[in-house]
Amino acid sequence: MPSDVRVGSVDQDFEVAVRGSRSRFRRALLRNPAFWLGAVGVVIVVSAAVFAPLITSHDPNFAFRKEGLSASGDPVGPSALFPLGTDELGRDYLSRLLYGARTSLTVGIGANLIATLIGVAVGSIAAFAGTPRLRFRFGSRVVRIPIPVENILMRITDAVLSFPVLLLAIALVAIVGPSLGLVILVIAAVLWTPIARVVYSRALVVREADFVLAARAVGVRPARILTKHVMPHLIPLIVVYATLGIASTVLFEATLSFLGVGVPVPAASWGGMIIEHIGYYLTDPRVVVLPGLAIMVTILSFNLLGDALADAFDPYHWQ
Amino acid sequence: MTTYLLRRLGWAALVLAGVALLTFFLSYVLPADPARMVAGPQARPEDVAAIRHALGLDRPFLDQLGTYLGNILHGNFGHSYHQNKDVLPLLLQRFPATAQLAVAGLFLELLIGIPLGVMAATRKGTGFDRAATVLTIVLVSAPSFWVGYLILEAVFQAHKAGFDLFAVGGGYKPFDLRYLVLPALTLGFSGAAYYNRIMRATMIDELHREYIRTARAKGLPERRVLWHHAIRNAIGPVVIQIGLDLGFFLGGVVVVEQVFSWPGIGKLAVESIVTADVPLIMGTVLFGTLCIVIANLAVDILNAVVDPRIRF
Amino acid sequence: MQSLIRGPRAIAIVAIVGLAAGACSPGASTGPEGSGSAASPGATAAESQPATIPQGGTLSIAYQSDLQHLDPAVMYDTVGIAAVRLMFESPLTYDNRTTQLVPLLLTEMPAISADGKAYTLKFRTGINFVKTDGSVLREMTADDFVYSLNRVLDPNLKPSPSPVASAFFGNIVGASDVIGGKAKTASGIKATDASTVEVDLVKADATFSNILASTFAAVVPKELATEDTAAFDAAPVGTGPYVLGSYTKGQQATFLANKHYWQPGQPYLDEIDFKVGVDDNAALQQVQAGTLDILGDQIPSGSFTQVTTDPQYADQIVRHSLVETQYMSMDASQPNGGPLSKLAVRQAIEGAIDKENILKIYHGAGVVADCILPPDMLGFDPTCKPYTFDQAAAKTALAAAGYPTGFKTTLYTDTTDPDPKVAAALQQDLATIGITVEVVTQSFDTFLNTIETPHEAPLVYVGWFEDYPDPSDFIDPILSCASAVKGGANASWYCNQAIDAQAAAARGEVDGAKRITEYQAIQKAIMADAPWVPLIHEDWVTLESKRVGGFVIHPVWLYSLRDVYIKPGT
Repeated sequence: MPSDVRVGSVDQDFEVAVRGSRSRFRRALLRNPAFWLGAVGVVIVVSAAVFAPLITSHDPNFAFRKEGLSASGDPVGPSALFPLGTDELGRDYLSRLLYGARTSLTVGIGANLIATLIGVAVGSIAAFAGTPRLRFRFGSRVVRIPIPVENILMRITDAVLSFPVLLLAIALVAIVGPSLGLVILVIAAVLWTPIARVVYSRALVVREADFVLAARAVGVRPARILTKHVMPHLIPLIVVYATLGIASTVLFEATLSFLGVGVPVPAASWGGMIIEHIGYYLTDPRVVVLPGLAIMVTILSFNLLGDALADAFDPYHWQ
Repeated sequence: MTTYLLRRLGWAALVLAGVALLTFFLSYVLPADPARMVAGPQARPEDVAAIRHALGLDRPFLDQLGTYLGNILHGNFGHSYHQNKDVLPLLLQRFPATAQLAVAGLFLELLIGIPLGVMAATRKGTGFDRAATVLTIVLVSAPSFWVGYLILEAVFQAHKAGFDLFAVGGGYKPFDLRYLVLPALTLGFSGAAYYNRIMRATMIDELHREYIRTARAKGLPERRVLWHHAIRNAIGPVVIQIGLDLGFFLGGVVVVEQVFSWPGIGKLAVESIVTADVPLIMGTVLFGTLCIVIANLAVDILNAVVDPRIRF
Repeated sequence: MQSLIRGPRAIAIVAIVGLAAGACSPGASTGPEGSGSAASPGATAAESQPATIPQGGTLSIAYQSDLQHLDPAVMYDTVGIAAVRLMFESPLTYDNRTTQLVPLLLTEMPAISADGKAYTLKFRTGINFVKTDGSVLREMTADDFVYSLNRVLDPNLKPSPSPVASAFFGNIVGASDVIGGKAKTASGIKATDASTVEVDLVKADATFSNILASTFAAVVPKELATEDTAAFDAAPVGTGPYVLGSYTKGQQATFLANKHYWQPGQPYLDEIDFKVGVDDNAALQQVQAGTLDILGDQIPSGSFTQVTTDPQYADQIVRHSLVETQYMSMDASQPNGGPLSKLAVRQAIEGAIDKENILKIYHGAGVVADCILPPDMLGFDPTCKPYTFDQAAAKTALAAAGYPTGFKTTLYTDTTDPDPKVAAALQQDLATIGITVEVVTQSFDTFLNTIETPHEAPLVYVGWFEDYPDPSDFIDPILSCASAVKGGANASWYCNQAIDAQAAAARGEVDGAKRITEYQAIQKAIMADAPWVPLIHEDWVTLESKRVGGFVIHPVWLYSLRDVYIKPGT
């Protein structure tokens, strides 16, 4: 579901189910050029993050005041010492881009992991809990209180979806102060809703399947039905949404940094790098174009990968 | 039907109330001093204290909350310290700018996304289909704030070269395309992908149906089959998405407004948080939530009316 | 006053006060004394005004920040100064290009009694209040000025009282009663006849003349300026050369020529448009394209070099040095024996900071600061250079102070450009001598809150503008014991009783030359205690379009539009 931040992934209600055999899945995947583009992109970005210290010897936060700045205090362009030039403080731009990958991926993957966990839990529990009745003993009387778990969980989801999440994020960071952990938590707290909704609607369908009814008839407890019988049918959906979710979280982090409430300065962050140098977009566009390109390549790769996975899982739409 | 309506309204009201409480609490906890904001950085502590007292900021939390909620019920959304104007008139005054951007952005999203979706559906599986999808994914992957600045740069260079088509540097004039097109386009690019996907998926479903086969067998031109018959049934989910999008947009498109200096609700919201203007923060958040809740409600009701399977 | 030049409210202070060319010694009623600087160093060479100034035309100016108030009793923001001065006038003002106090609504400078406590103000006659529709309301009288001053003191102004009631006007006899709600009018403000007002002060204070030049002392009509400031904001009525034509919040305010203005030959323009909420990069582009006349903010950092070195714009650059100091404050009374509480540590830090590099971050728009007062301020001492940049020596000194392996601390600044960059530079400098600094940037308002909380921020990067043209304003509000309290502006929590006594004596000093010497001594003494590392004094650099004439950056008002005209044939 799109939000103002335009969560960078393309969500929709995928009819994602495992149809056909495993080898068919693999073939469909490997034949899709989008998969290869996406996979290569992801590998590049992850490698940049992991191998950053090997690729560049400069400290991304060190300002080269003499060699890295012109006499009037402006960034210098690409040279032997600085393959991609410097930024407004004289810091090596290549290093900042590579270490920026670390920030984006740490926040993106971290937040997405938490968001996926919350979303899957909420969605599946809502679908299977229904409205349980709590049994109480009041003296000699037994009271049964229905607790509309399903309703409450989905209303909470709706409420979070209705909330202008960007503003919430900005306010939270303003209150607690910027920190990596907080940014991850804030992003997770607002982006778990799409996956919760999708898992919920899919789980509802699976709930009515024959094998589930059979399991219930036999007396298997709901929790066990959920974990052992239903989950496998949700895995494809979860995998696709988790992959696409990284695109959303990376974009959200970049947007927060752009608005000045992201990862604390002077840690390298692509969104932060854009806003730091926004004044140069006319005179030295390199400093604005490069981080934007990095964000775009990252988001694009995860989107393509997620899209390819969705297609491979469900070739129905792609004959 | 009426019970369904009442239940949905009830939940909507609950959501709004919850959001109001949460936002008030957050604003109260913000570590900036609204009295200092009003007084300015150079005012002496005793003058700041006088202002703090006049604004009622030294009253206990529950007191302030009570007054605030009471005022809301009377239609008084408070008074913005920073802008020195009542919150509701301020919001209403900025709303037209956001509304124009929302409508224009949405229009462009549809303009790009729908035809692409329909054509991709008919050419399903071909190179065109793949290319269209990749194109829209590329568009959605480009961060809107980055794209916005690239567009501004292009306009400036074009202006230097003598092509004075658009307003330089962004800004706003009511209903003036020179100012509206670029931010709307930025929005349009980022959202077209959704409509492409939805349109494509629903069209594919429709095109498999019996009546389409009948229409084709009757010898109707393909264009008519597509754009007259199939699309009318396939457009449902798209309309729902439009409603939801509109709700989100009308609450203020923060990033694009910021980049293009567009004086709408989104920009107001960011200003209010950055200046710790508590009544205005409350106002913009509530307004945004209201738009989304109303849109959700409208869409749900529309759905319920149209689809008899939805139980009331 | 705390500010960041590029911050939203930074300029308010500068606008209110200015260089004290001569108002420092009580008893003197006119004439510059001490270092009366006519044009400050670093200012653009003033164009000579043409013999007959061309009339007519529309001027446009664009600001990032919005106007907040148009009511002079409460207006205290950057954009508002220029706007309010178009519509309202005060008894005194500063000369068009310098900081000399001259009469505006008065026929002559105020007559001050021998003890410095009684001011007699003779107002001109024939000055009219003009309404927003352009028609005359009525003639201004002395009663209106009495009413205006009492209004600034009124604690019941809605929605909130004036932010300077105590600070600027508290010294008037009876003012504290009004502020406290015990009286409606101050006994010390009386109209002795239809055009004369007498104001009595509790203590002699030469800076009162500067207050009389501030926008807070502007004259407003008693029947229209009520306690509802929002209503008066919407329909401001004053005596100035322009009236408010229309105002759309967040977008634009339009000012139209006052056809009944009392000074002949003015106003020069037909209309002035204030566009607000315009991104400074966008505004710069518009000035370069010729669709905007004046850039209301500084030339943005990213385009600074390109614009200032481009010969095409050479005549359009407008520049002036600012009476301010950017500095890093250190918590001199850091609790629990923290490292910054030790003098030796602070002095070591003084030698570790590369100020030339910081000037580079500002693209050279300014001068390095070695002492407290800026060059344009009375009492400036060019020989006050107690510390030299030597990082090796600083590291040794730090070790000698008991921290051979350095220590950890935190530096706070706000998010307004280029403060985070300066903070990063300071961080790197301190790292070189072994001090590990964590930088925390906060939005301006949160930042103010932090540095006003005792001992919350060990290191702070911030700037200070003068409030009024007197060196006491650089000492009392930010370096005195009285200001080292919660809500005060003394970010270094510095308190030296001996120096406090010296400062109190200097404030009341009558002999002008002696006063300068005293302030120079005070500065040296404070710098010996090293509560701050002074960094730079900034310049303000902006751009005007080709058709603008008569525009300079004024040392007090910054943007003063009353003398601007449009060149003919453009």
